[in-house]
Amino acid sequence: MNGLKLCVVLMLLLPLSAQEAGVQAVLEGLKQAPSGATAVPIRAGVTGFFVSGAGDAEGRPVVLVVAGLNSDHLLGVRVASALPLALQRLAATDASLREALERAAVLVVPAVEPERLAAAATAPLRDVRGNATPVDDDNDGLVDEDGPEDLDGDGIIATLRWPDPEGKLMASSEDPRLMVNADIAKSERGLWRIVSEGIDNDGDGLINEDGPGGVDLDRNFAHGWKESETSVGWSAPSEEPARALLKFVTERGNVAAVFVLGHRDNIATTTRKSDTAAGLAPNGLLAEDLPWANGLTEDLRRILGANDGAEDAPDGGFHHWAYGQHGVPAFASRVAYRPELPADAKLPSGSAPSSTEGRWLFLADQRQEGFLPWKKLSHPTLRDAELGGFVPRFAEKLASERFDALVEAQAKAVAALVTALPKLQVRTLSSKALGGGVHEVEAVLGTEGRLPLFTHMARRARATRSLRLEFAVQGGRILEGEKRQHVDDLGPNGMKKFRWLVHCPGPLDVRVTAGAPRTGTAEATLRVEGN
Amino acid sequence: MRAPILFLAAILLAFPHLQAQVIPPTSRARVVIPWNHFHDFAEMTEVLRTLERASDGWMRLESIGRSVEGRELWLATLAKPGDRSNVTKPAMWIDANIHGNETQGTEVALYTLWYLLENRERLPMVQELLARSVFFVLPTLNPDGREWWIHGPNTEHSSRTGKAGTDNDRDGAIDEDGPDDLDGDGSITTMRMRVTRGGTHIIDPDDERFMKRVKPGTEGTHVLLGAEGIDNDGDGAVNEDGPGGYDMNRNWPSDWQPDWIQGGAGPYPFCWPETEAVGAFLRAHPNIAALQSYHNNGGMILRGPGAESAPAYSASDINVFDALGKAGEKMLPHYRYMIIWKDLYTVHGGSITWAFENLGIFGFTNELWADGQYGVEFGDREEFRKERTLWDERLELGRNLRPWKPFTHPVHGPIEVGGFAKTVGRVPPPFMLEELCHRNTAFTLHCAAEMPRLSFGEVHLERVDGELWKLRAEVRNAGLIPTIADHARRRGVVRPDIATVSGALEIVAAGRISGPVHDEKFARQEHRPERLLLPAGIPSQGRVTLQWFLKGSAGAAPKGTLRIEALKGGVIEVALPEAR
Repeated sequence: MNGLKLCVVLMLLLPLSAQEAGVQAVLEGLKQAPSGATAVPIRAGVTGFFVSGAGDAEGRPVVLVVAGLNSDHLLGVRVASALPLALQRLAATDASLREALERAAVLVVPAVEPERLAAAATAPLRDVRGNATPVDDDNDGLVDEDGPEDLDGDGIIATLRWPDPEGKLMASSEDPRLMVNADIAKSERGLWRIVSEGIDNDGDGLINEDGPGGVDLDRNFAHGWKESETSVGWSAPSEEPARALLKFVTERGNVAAVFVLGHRDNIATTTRKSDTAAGLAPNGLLAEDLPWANGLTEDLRRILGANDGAEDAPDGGFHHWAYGQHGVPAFASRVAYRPELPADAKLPSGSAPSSTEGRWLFLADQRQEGFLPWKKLSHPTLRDAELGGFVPRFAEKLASERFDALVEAQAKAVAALVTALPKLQVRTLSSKALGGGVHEVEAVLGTEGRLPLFTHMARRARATRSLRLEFAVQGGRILEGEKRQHVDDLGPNGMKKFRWLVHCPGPLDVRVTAGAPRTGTAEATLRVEGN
Repeated sequence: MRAPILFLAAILLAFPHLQAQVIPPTSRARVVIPWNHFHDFAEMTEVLRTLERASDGWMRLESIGRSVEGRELWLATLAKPGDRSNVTKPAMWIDANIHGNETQGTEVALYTLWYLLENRERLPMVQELLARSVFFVLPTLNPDGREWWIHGPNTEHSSRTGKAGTDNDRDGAIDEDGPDDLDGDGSITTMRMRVTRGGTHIIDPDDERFMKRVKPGTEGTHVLLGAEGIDNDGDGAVNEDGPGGYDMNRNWPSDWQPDWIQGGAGPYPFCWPETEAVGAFLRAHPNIAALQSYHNNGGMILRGPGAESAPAYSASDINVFDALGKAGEKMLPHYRYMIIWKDLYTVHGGSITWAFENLGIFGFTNELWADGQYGVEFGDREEFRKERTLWDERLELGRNLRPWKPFTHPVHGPIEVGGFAKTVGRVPPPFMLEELCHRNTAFTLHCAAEMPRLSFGEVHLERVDGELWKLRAEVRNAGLIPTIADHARRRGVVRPDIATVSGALEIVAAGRISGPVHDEKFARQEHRPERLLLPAGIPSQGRVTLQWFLKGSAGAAPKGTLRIEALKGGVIEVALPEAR
């Protein structure tokens, strides 16, 4: 029996871990379009699913929903996979969503890099933010030579802590099991260091400083990209899945809003306003975009129960690129936010859980799982080391128990985006006879919906095809006004007047057509009586 | 004929060590190439193939990718045939013509290959340079833009771009309204129209070939209508969306900024196959220590940073740039050594700044050709045209001026077309091309000669006590270029150099000697002494001193090999000396 065959046989004999089996089931589910959705290829092995009303969905303005940028956010992938059906359920009872889906579409890409999901799900249980691209994290000429190990064989990569006079951490006053940074301003002293479970494989004095992989796909996009950091890729984007996603979005031109499910969040806190110097890309929202952004963010915050957020400065995230360079409203949801606890919740120390970690610890205590008590461990290089801490993805596991509610909330958030897209209309088309067969024709172009025709960022970045406004009068002559013009802005009211002077020898039809890939089209016809 | 031979014989008798190397410098060229000609893609390919065939294995031609229109990206590698150390030797990268209209760079790159190959046995300096270095030469990074500039109707400034379709006016149509060669002369010149009122120009009374702007409040007889062209797509604008319409030298990841801030940047770094292929090659060859990227024009030797907002360079790196750049000013009359953002303009996402800031490669952009080389410093724009014409007539016998010709324009009616051809201004007159090629080649070879040159200084071994021995070794770099730029060290983008001692011995401790000579200190590497890392490398024209405490086997003095591996400086080895 050759080595390869032996390997295959051994693999068949090994039972899949629950985690791996779960991922396999999710990956199987990604292969087929859910009922009522149509599949569209994004890149090799990756399919997106369109949800919209009857008719051709592909040419309509699209709300793009993306998940699976990081392989340790399987919850996002699972929730995204369930979104097409959830949106259809919502549309059945929500007339405004139904109407919005007649002129726009939702495109769900549940897993941008599915091949990595399977690899990252192999035991032991760990956090795997990066993808499979080998990276020499510590620039020592050896690649991926020092990753974590499951030292106690419990199938989990937990946390090591050890006392060190030069450490920066101390036991939290909230609960001594939690490690927090010592605050020298309060005369606190650091006594501990922590690192993920493992040994110093390459003998350089550091533990787990260069593990397998990888590039964080959600920091690999070219807006605010931190080029001097190691896990962000050597270019932006350097990773094939990220490039494929950008190519897809830029080439189609009709993506009008973006919603990302993953580790990032720009919903829980107030929106960040750009304060970069002139001549550099903005590092937040342009002031002109704050009116729609603040309102929409507030709605999404309420729908998702988003809390525990920090200001979201651009650092190469997909949603950063989507707003900062593609110029569309872009939101990132963590899917599961910090759970609310009972008012009388108390940790064993007697203090109420105040930090996020404290809250998770309270829940872990309640459930007798999710936090490993610190225990002494014999370690080859660390003295008095202890192993313990939170079980990786405990929060994700807890959230999974609220799966249906989370799907419902994300679907509502996506619905809020679809219904907020500008609904382009020729509001009125009228004419006034000036004598001698000359008529003044006036069209009022306008949008409905929370969002403007284009964001200010899109106009600033010239990142969108302009609205093309065409005026036709067959058999007549245009004396004043353009036959074809490009419009980027309908003003603060979202309504603008356009006028033409035409000469009509007899009764004629004039037609006004307006449209752009991100806005859809609108048209109107008017009979103008001649002379 | 007799006298020179006798003279040569006399020299050889006086300097017998030169006998093997001296070949009369007046020998005929092995390969004859016209250096007063701009080669198109097919001709350039043929030149490269000819050079490769005649190179006795010194040159290898390969394609590292294809352009948008499918042309091969030819890369010539010059390296000693059969030398296994070619992959670790310091290498110099030379590219040219990233902007399609900046054509003379390609000729310089071809000249460099030709010159090195022709003189590989004639000139000891070339011989030595080729023995210790590798050259990677990409004569055109933008073959599509080059071909379009040479064969298509253009101005001196147009066809800077590659040929990927770009919707410059965001109307959904791609490249639908470029300039048109209305008079079919191969150049895009200017359109003028006679008007009865509202004229801004008159025919210059001193020379009827020129237009002269009239003073405000005065009526002219003509208006200028811009570059030759019609409104191809009927949108009311002329020439608003020509071929391509981007800038491949704004498409590199370092300090990249989007298109609306840095015009031409493209949707994201490395979005075009040409830049992507070069980026991948440079990353895959960490032995590249120096770089030259030929552009035109203005007579400049440019270094980064490209923007004030980009991180500043360290003083030690600036010293290296300064020494090379100032040498260049002397080798290249009319050229100035300049900092891109400070002395020229801001460039976000440029190629040489990426190569230095993200790969630690010292490099320059030479802007080839300065008007002053023509023999005259030109004045303001209108005077320039006249002066230029005068010199065009005297030195090039009127090659470049296109007289006004009538044309019936579909929108404007009767107009006239005329002005300078594309071959004036940014490219040198052909009769001056060879000198430009040679001087720039010489400067670039000077940079190549200053790549790291490592050697061991003093290496000695002495017994400390009992079976404990101390090995001390000095590693020198004779090159101006350090093995690791300080910028690269700060950013951790070049692997530290590695010092190892192997053989019949045991390493107790290893480290560097730091501090001034009168107050030396041993700075031990706390972990993994068998792989001593030197994150700052071997400095510019400097040295580092390393020290090991060793145990020999069975009480004998340690025996073995000391080895230094520098990604940009090659590998050197020495046997441990006898104990003192």
